[in-house]
Amino acid sequence: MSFNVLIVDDSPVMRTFIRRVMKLAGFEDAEYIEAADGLEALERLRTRRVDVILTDVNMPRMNGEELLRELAKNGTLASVPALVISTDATRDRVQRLLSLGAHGYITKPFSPEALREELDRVVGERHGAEN
Amino acid sequence: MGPKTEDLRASRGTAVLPILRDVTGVVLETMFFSEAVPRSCDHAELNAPGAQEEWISARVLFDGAPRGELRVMLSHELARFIAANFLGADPEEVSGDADGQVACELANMICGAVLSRLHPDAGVALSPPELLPGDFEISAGVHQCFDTPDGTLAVTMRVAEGAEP
Repeated sequence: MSFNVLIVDDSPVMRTFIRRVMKLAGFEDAEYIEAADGLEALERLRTRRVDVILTDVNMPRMNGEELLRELAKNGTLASVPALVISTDATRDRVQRLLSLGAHGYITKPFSPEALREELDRVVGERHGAEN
Repeated sequence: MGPKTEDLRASRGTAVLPILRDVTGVVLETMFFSEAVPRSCDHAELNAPGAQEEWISARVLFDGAPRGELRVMLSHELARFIAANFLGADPEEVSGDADGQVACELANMICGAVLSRLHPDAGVALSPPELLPGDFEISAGVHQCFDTPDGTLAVTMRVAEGAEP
């Protein structure tokens, strides 16, 4: 079964970059699903099984914080690991997003190695909890 | 709406400039697989005839404590090269839209990283980055030019009157 990654970012070039870095980080065979904001992400999640969500914070219509709140309300989706990717590394913002249910936080700029490490921690953590 | 130029003052360069230099280098290296070496500024390229057609400017406003803006200025050619690096494409394949979007992402990342280093405990909201074709005003604020393998990158950060940088 393929590893499905949902990338949520309003910037098309950033979505392309994240897909590229994911491949450089070793996820060449993953399937990538894209959404431009939180609302689109929820639409994708209605019809697709996703193993991890990588989301930006500042987006139109529904931002990353609102998306995390919506995920937390849904029993099934609440268990999907969500990793925030943002330029904002201020302590309050990071703490707030983690408290809303984000499983991890990556600050731009980031290297493929840093993304891999955080994904291993987040996805491995979840798999570990299931096993 | 962003702060007006007359409302802006030079930031405390002694604190901001080393961080601006370091962050720009790290962002170029990590996200754009390139490099940025600080250089002295003469801005001959920006003042040359036809510069407005050849250069683009991307800006991010920030609001909170502090409040202000960060701008990057670069040639279309450099924007195309760094967009190609960013997207893993050939420069010839990069569209005009993509080079502008990548310039905006560059401004966004430098701005967010500088503010996070300067004010790790502050609440600062960044506006969506925007392109400002032909706007190369660099008279105020903390400014640094960088040599990259594909041309000059200019970065300017300004903080609004009364705000601590």
